[in-house]
Parts: sequence; C-alpha cells; structure tokens
Amino acid sequence: MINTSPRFFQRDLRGLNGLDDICSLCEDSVKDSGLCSIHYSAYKNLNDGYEKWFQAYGKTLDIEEYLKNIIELQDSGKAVKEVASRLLKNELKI
Amino acid sequence: MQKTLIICEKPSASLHLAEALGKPNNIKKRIKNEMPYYEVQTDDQEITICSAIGHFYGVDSKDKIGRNNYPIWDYTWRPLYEIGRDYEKQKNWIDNIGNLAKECVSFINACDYDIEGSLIGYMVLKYACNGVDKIAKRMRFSTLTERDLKKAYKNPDPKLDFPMINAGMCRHEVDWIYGINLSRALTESAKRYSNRYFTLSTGRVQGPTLKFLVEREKEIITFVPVPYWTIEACVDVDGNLINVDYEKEKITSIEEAEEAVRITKDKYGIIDDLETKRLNLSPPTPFDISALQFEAYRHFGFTPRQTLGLAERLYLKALISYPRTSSQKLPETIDFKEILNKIGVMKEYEENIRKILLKEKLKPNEGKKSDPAHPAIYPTGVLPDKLEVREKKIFDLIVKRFFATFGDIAIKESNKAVIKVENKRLYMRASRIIERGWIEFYEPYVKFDEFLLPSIDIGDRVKFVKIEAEKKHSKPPPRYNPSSLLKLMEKENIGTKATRADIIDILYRRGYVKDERMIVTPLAFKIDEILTKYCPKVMNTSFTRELEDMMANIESNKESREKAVIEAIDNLKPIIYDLKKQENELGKELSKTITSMKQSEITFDISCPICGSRLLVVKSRKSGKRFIGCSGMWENKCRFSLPLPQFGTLKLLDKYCTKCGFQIIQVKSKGKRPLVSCPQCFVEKKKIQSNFN
Repeated sequence: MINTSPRFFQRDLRGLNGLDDICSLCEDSVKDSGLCSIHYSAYKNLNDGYEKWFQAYGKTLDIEEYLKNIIELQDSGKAVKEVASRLLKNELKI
Repeated sequence: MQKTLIICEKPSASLHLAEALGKPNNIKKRIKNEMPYYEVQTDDQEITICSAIGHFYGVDSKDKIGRNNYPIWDYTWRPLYEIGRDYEKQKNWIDNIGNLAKECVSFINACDYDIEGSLIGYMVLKYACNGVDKIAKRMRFSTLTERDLKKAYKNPDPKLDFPMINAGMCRHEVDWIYGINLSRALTESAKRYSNRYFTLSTGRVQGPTLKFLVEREKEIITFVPVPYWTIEACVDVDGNLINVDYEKEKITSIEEAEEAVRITKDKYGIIDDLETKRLNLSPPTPFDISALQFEAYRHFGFTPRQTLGLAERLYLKALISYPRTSSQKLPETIDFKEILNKIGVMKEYEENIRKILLKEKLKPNEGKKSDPAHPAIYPTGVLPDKLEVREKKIFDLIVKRFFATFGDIAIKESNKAVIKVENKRLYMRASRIIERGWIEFYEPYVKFDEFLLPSIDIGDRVKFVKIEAEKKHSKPPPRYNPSSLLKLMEKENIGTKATRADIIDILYRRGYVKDERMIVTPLAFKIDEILTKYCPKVMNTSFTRELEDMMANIESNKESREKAVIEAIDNLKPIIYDLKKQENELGKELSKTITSMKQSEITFDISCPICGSRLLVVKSRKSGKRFIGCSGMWENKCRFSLPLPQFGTLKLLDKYCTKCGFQIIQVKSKGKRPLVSCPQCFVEKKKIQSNFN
C-alpha cells in the first residue's frame, strides 16, 4: 500500500539531534516543529508541494517516491533537500 | 585686472575648461605640489582654473571618541585627511587652492551639476577659500564641449545652488549617522563577545537592499519544484516540418497530457482560422544612467559600477553628456543635426546618419522620466581618439541608442493559424518585421527571430508527425545580479543614481554576497535576521523611502536640512539604545556565524582519501607554512597532507578537478592573474618531473 498520509508531514522533529532548542538540521535556533525558520519553511513547502505532485500523477504517488524525486531534482532548494532526506530516513524507521 | 578662480571637480575637467575659455597660446599650465592648475588670459579677465579630486571634506564625530565607541550623535564636517589615512595628499591640494583664492576676487563652482558636485565645490569655497561661498557663482553644463562650457561661463547662476547643497549635506550626515552607529553596533557586539575583529556593516540603504537579496535567497532554498507537462508537436505542411503550440502552455496533470497526445497522434488537423496582427514597436527612449547600466550588463556583462565608471571616463573626454542623470529627455536646445554631422565622419555610423538626416524634423522619442539638472545621455559630437575596448563598447551603445530614438516606429506582423483536432486546438505561429524603422539604427543591440507561415488556407488538412508530452518542473525565481538589483533599487526608490552601484559593491566587500549571481552567504542571513529582529524599521523599504522623499523636499526647498537630520536621529536613537542593551546576545549570534563561515572557508568539500575525515587548510606552528591536512590526524593518526602555495590569498572554489576529482583552489596575488590549480594533480606532476630529472 502506498503511503499518502497527511500525518507524515505533521510530525514534530524536535530533539532529533538530541537538542530541543537547536534545529535538527542546522545549528540555528528553533522556530517550530524542531526546525529553524528556513528549514521550517522548506518543510511547509514540501507538505504543500506533495498535494500538487499527488494530483499531477493521478493520485498514485507515494510520499517516499515524492521525496526521492525532490532530492534528485536540480532545482529543489538546498533546505528542501535537507528536510526531504531527513524525512526519508525517518520514514524508513516508521 | 580682475582675477577669477574656477573650481572643477576633476583635473581632466579643468583642462577642458581651460581649453574652452582660452586660446592655445594664452593657457599656462602650472603644477604646485602635484596639483595641476591653469591660468587663462581672456580679453578682459585673468582666470585661474583648478580642481578638486572628488570629495575633500566628510562627516566625522565632533569629539574624537575612538573607533570602538558608539552611539555617536554629534558630528562635524572635517577635511578627509584628518579622518582617514589615505587622504594625506589632499592637505597640500587644499592649501594650494586656498593660496590661489587669496589672489582672486570672484569665484565660480564648475563642478558637475548634481548634488555631489554642488557639495564638493561648496565645501572647497567655504573651508579652503575662507568662506567665499557666499559670493561665489555656479556654472551649469551637461557636456564638457567647448560650446557648452563657454555658454555656462558667460551665463553662470549668480549664487550657489544652496537647496542642492543642503540636500547633499543632509544625505551625507544622515547616512553617516546611520552607518556608523548601526555598523559599530554589529562589529562591536561581535568583537566584545569573541575578542576578534570582523568588519560588519549596514546602513540606511544597505539594510533594505540586503533584505531583497535574503528574501529571494530564502525563496530559492525553500523552493519545491512542481511537475507539469508541455506538448511538443510538429506538423507536416508540403514537406516542411513546422512546430506548433498546444492550446495550454502548461498541463498540470499527466492524465490530461496523455489525453492530448492520444487525441492528436497520427491524426490530421484542420486549419480552422487564420489570424494576423500588427504591432507597433516604438523607438527606445534615450538612455538615463539606469537604462544604460542595464543594457551594458545585458550585452557586455559590465556591472553597474563598471558602466558608470566607463561612462564617466567618456564624459571627461567630452564624448558624451553627463551620465549621472535620471532623465529620458533630450531638449530641443541640443543641436542634433550638428552632433549627427560630426559623428557622420566615422565610417561605421556614416550610412545610418545619412538615413536619419533625410528626416524633415529630428525629434527623439523621449521617455517620461526627467531630471532638473541634466538631459538624457547623448553623444556630444566630439570624435573619440584612442578608446580602450570597454570604453568603445559603451560609446557605441550610447551612439546607436541616440540614433534609434530618432527612428520611425517599427512594425511587427504576427500570424497565427488555428489547427483543430476533435475538441483540441493547436497553434502555428509566425512573426516578422515588416517595417524596420528604428531597429536598423540599434543593431546589434536589438534582435527579433523572424519566421514565415507556409502557404495555407482555412479548411486545409495538416498531418501531425510528432506529438509528445514532455515532463518539466517549475523553476525557482532567479537570483538577482548586480544589474537586476540596481533596477529593483530604482523601482523601490531607495538610494540614488549616484550611490546604488557603490552599495552593491559594499555587499560584495563585506562578504554578504558572492559570485555574479549574487549568492547570499550565511553571514548575510544572520545580519538580516538580527536587524529584522532588533530593528525592523531600519530594514523596511518604506522607512528608507520616506527619508529619500524628505531629502528630495530639501532639494526643492520645501524642507529644512536641520529638521530632516533631527528627525532621522530621533528615529534612530531608540533603535541603537535597544541594540546596545542586547549587545551580548547579538555578539553571540554573530560570532557563531562568523566562526562557522571562517571555518567553511578553510574546509574542503571532499573527504580525506585515506580515512574519510574532513580536509582542512592548516598552518604549521613550527614553520608557519600552510598546507592541506586531515582533521582525522589526532583520532585516526591519518598523515594525509598536500602542499599549498605560500603566497597570495587562498580560496577554495566550488569546482573539482576533471582528472582526479579533488577540489580546485585559487590563489590571488596583487597585480597578478589568479592561479587556479588542483593541489593533488600539482603534486603528481612534480613527482613525474622529479623522476625525469
């Protein structure tokens, strides 16, 4: 079964690096969900982007596939790729 | 006989003026303590013409309080040689002008007619010439041609342009107060926290400009591409394959894209309609400085600052009118015919000028923007002699643009054939220029792709020979480059035509941006974050714009300089006191970013080929020599190392060796071409050489 759950993007990444007030992906201070403002924006854009990708591929696109595509694309933002890689690794643990 | 002293802005301008006012046998060039000046004898007057070398006076703190202290609210105007180390030469220069002034009874400011020129002349007359600013006159001219200079000398304004001088003083004072206090707040916070000095700066215009860049960079690094499809289609018309466009430029779902392909594949389409439109293309407007900077970047890749410098050189050679103008207008008082006739001697322009001169009336296509001080940029008719390549390019661009403004409207014809297949429509498009008008005068700086439709009629059948859905992804917004940033600053009305290029340059010098595509560094993100957090007003474009409007009001005599400066200081005071209170917090955040930036400057992107640890530029404590070392030296006892050049400034580039994949380095030494090399291949080469020997 493919994973298209919106809950995937509603997770709190706080403390993934063992620190509550430092972004899980860089050394900046946390704004929301365990991420700094830049990585949090990237995280939100990834979430919004998934809906568009999902519709574009006839509602058959797995989140994991989506994230892999995003990481491979040259024009994906640097922060977006960092969040996508983290989500992908985390997804494998679920 | 009455003696007059004329002050020019630059030595080359004083030579032009001397040549214009005197005859070759009655111009005497003198040099005193390296300062050239000219004595000219006319029928009824003796004239001494000297020049400044840019600004001689600047704003400084009233009391000497040391470089590390802030806030500073009391300021005064001082000679620059008392403020900075690089201006010692100016002391003699100022003294010389003062001595020349003692022998004269009348005085004229003949510096460039703009805010800076008015201020430079005023300061020299007031401070170096012992307060003669009150009786001095003002020469106004837009070119350094003999005719314009003679005319300006015969009809000077009876007194100096004080509203313009006040506007200039206000700008310098407000910018100094903002710059010194905000920059010191940043630099000192970082220094007091980490005990290390690193120059940080911001200012009234610099802050909002940096914000534009940071906001754009945030959009780029958080950008998520979205897929879409385009239909790539081709039809066969009498054996000719012609590309056609699908009715939708972008298709947002794969199902719709596949359906479009399925419907049209191997089918015949019917020509359903034929449309023809004609579009009038107006001639371009004459160049103002921003438009010239934009075009020069587009065609030659010159930065706005380079273009301004080159244009100023052409102005000082009397080849073009004053370039720091925001006007797109060319008044009728300029003798266009005479200019064209003079330039017509040059072979490359001869043919076009002949065509332009056939017109009954020469009327340029003026734009909306005007400038009370100067017209748009135009060639003066003086013929160039020994121009360097880049000057030649700018001159040619200005001349051809000038020609084009006199051209007729060009007419472009666009044709569209509508092809119908079931419920889908595709379009065959073509366009051509049917009246070349001004285009022929502005080539090669204007280009149009021309394509003709084949002979077809409504009801004809055409076969689709290729139809494919091509997957694409949306693109992030482009990064600013110096030219597009300059355009944005102009649109947002921040800074002036004279200061914008310098502000962009400072952003590079401070390490806030790098590369031509203006990639924003982590330090810039931090500066923006801190200033937005602690003093959002300073980063706000509308706040800067209000100050610009206030200064424009001073220039038009609607507001007093004193009131404007007091208001600006009152706005800044609470911000600076607040920053000072949070100095420790600020210093901590800045120091962290500076340290990590410094660290990244000496850390290679590639790992150690032996143990996989990070590779660093290391300085040996014993010998003081730098080399590439492995960070795993202590943990893994890794002994990997490579030598580095011991001279010049080292930079790790974002490039990798095509042979071995190692990161490329660049070493820059003053006055030499940068050395770009692969450290690993360099060692291998040396080994091979020593084996041969």
